Amino acid sequence: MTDTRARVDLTRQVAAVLASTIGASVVIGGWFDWDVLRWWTPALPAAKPVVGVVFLLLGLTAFRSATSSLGRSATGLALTVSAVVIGYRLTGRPIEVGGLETTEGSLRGVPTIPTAVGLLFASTSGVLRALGRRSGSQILAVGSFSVGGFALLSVLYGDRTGTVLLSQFPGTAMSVPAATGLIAVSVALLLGTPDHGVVGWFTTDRLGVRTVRRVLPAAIAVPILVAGFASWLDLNDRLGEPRAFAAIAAVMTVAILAVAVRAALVIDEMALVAESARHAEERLAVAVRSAQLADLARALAVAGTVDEVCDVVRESASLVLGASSAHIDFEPADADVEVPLTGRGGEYLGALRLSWDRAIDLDEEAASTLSTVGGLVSQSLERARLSDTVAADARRNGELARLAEMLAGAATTDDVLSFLAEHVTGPVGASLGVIGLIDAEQQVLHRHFPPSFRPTAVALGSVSLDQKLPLVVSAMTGRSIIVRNRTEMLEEFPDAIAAFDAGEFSATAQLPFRDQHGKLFGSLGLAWRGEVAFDDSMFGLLSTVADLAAQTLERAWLSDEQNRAGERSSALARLAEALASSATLDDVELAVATHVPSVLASSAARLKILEEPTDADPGAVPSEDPDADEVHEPNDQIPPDVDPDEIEFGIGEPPESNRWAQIIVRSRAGSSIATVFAEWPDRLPPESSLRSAFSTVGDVVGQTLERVALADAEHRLVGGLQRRALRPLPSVEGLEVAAHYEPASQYLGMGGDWYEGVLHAPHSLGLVVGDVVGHGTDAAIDMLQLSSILSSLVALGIPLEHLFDSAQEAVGLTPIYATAWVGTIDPIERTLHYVSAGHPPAILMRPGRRSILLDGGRQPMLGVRSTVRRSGAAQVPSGATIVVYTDGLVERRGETIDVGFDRLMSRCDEAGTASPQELLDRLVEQATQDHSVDDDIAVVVVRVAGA
Amino acid sequence: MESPVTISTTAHGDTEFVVISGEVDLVSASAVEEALVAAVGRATAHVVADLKGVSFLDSSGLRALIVGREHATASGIGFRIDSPQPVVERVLQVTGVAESFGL
Repeated sequence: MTDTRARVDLTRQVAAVLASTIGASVVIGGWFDWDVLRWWTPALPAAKPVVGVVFLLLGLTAFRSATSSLGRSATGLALTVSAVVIGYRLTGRPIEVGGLETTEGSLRGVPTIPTAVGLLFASTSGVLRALGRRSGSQILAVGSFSVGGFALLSVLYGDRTGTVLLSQFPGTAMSVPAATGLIAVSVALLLGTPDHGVVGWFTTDRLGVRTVRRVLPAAIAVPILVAGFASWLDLNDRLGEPRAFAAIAAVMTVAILAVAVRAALVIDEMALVAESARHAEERLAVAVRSAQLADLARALAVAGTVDEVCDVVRESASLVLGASSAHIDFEPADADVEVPLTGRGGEYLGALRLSWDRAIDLDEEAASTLSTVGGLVSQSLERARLSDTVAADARRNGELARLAEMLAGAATTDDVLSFLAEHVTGPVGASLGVIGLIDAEQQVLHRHFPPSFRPTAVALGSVSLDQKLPLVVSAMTGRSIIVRNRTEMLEEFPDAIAAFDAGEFSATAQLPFRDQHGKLFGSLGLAWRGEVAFDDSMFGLLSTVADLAAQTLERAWLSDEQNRAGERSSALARLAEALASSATLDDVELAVATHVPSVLASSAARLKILEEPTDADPGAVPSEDPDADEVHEPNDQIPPDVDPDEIEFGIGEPPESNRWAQIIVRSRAGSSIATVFAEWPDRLPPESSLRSAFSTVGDVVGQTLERVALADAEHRLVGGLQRRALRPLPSVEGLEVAAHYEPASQYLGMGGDWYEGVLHAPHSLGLVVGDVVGHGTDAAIDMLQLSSILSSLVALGIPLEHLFDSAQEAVGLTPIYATAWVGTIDPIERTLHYVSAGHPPAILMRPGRRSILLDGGRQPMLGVRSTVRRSGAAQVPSGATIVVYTDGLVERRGETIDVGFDRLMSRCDEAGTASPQELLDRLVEQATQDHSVDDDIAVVVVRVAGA
Repeated sequence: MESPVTISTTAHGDTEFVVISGEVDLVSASAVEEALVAAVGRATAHVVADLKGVSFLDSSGLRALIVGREHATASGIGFRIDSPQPVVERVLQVTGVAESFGL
């Protein structure tokens, strides 16, 4: 009975002490607001008095009702229920642990209720059993109770540590193995880290781990050690039961308080750490959010176009509250979050749509972030739209400027056309450009496509002006035609649908070209393959481009015209030059055939000289067309009363042959002397320009023909006079003679050289070779006069040294300028007497010796007054040869005449013993081959016969 | 046909200089003759035909010089040929007119 009472007392006392201790400490702590004691109920200050009272009541109840088995069980149950109720109450709300807001405590707390109940029962039954075993059981009971209490407190506190302990030992009576396991678990917990190990499995926060590490060992070890010491010291026996209990209770109280104090300190420290960590994290979060916003803002700031803004938003989704996707929609759509984007004026720009792949708490802060982001995106979008518009304008203007610049550089119509067709599309973003030019003469529209456009199904090139194609209609009516789609094209221009389809076009625009007088001359066609908006800006652009093209084409035409005029002028100059140097009709024909095509831009031209000058109707002049079988009758619509000074011309345009035209070339007197015929492979130049060019050609050809005819007549006259001057040399016994006159190849150089032979004495030959300065009829007449004077004087036997004086007297006041060589050769005496009036010296060839110049008897040329009277003489042995000649035989430009003399002597030496005729032929041939000077040549070779 | 000769005239004091260069032939001689006669007409005392640049001179050219000198003589003007090239000088010698030009 004593035992039983003692056990009851013990139980009663232990429970009472614990409950009282807890209750007191809570009340006192709450009262004085001690940090240490506040630890007990840190999360619910308002509950402190209640908790304290509950625990005090628990201690009282335990003390009073532990007398019966049933009462003890009821006590345990009541304790458990109370603990659960309190624990649940406390832990059912969010409890802040380690700075993290969590609701896990409540979730975990619920399943641990049965565990806690079981453990409490075990503790209680362990205490009851210990009553039967005085020593070890008591220690274990105390330990179990302590642990259970601690665990309960943990649950109350909401710390997961307590929950862990409870859940790991369900319904097990505390025993040595259990205590050992408990210690092992504690060690495992201590060794664990938040990231792995056992603790990590239970708790993820660092502070939780630290709490466990610091408090748990003490919480486990102290009761065990106390109980162990009590048992070892056998306190019950030594001190008596009540005292022993009191001592244990005191130690326990101290120990629990110590643990509590330590834990409180740790918790306090942890709270501080957690507080600062929370601040740090808050600051970090704010900083991160700011940085993200800054990144986003920066990216948006550099986004130049609307597309780029959309890209930035899409790529930077994670920067906006970590969204998984974000995009700007200009149409309403579903999304997790939609932030409307509005311009500065409040107009709707679109919406920023965000999605997250996780739950997100859209609190006020997030809302503010979103609104900031929305503002940023809106601004960026608005700016980008503005800059897109500006950029588009700038691009168009740039393209326009480039087009204008390149057009300005295009010189000819062809340049402009090829360039336009290729580049006119740029400013308006079209896919194809085509230039149409009206050809009124042919009644067609010439179309110029870019070289790159070569559809196989559609014919390109010229089209008739009555065809109902938009390009033609625009060019003819001056209307701008916009075809917006295939349906419109099909309805309005069914003829053009094939080309429209072949090019896969979506729309076309046709704009008329007008020149500066407002006259229509063509059209610009543009075709698009993609979308095109025909807004005001596009219309403005189209008309600018069309104007630009029209102006350029007009300018190029003018420049073409100038070029053509320039070419015609230079061709005309070449023709005139060729005609001026034409000496014969053949020359004139050649000049016409060579140069007239350039003047008339024809493919060929021919001069036909009419045999008999005629005044017949020029229209009746038959013209020959080499490429046609029939003879074309020239246009008979030429007015019959045409001005005779004007060059009439006819135009032929046979259906299947070349086009041609011809003019009648008239003399100054008005008679037709020739026709100039020209032909063109395809079409004639405009009639007005043709008429003026033809008229000029006719003029110059006519003048030339007249001049050539006159020259021809003079040529014939000079030739006749020349022939009369050149009579055969008289034959003198003992002398072998050969003479030759070679006229200049050109008429200009002809005339003036002569030779003549007279009998001087019964045996002598008087020889005269001369060269009258000048040309033409005058020179020929002078020559005849001088020739006969000199011959007569020689025949009269006038001394040679006075011969030229006498001749000049005979000539009279008007001097005849001439060089002359006069000699007398006596084959019997074998002597030569000679005088030279500025004439090239004769050459004397003697057998076996080198040729020499006979440079004696020199007097000035005829026409120059002089007092020099001298003659030369030489022995002419048998076989000697005298070569007398005019300067045409030796003269060469660019060399001294002595070189010519030396060359002639060498040639004579080379000829050796050739007969006089052979020698003469040879010398003349060699001289004409020199082609240096186009001059007449007269040569006389006289050989003294052998003995 | 293009004239192969260039003629320029300048006056220094009482002397007219006629500077002739190129080829004096049938085509160009008449121009030379005209220039010389004109120079004689302008001259008060002397006419100098500068033949330094003449590379060719045929009988037509000779006549031009002679005609020029005849005019000068008739007008009491001195006429002189200056620095002919050897080619030309030889022609003047061959034709016997060099002496009459003071060469």
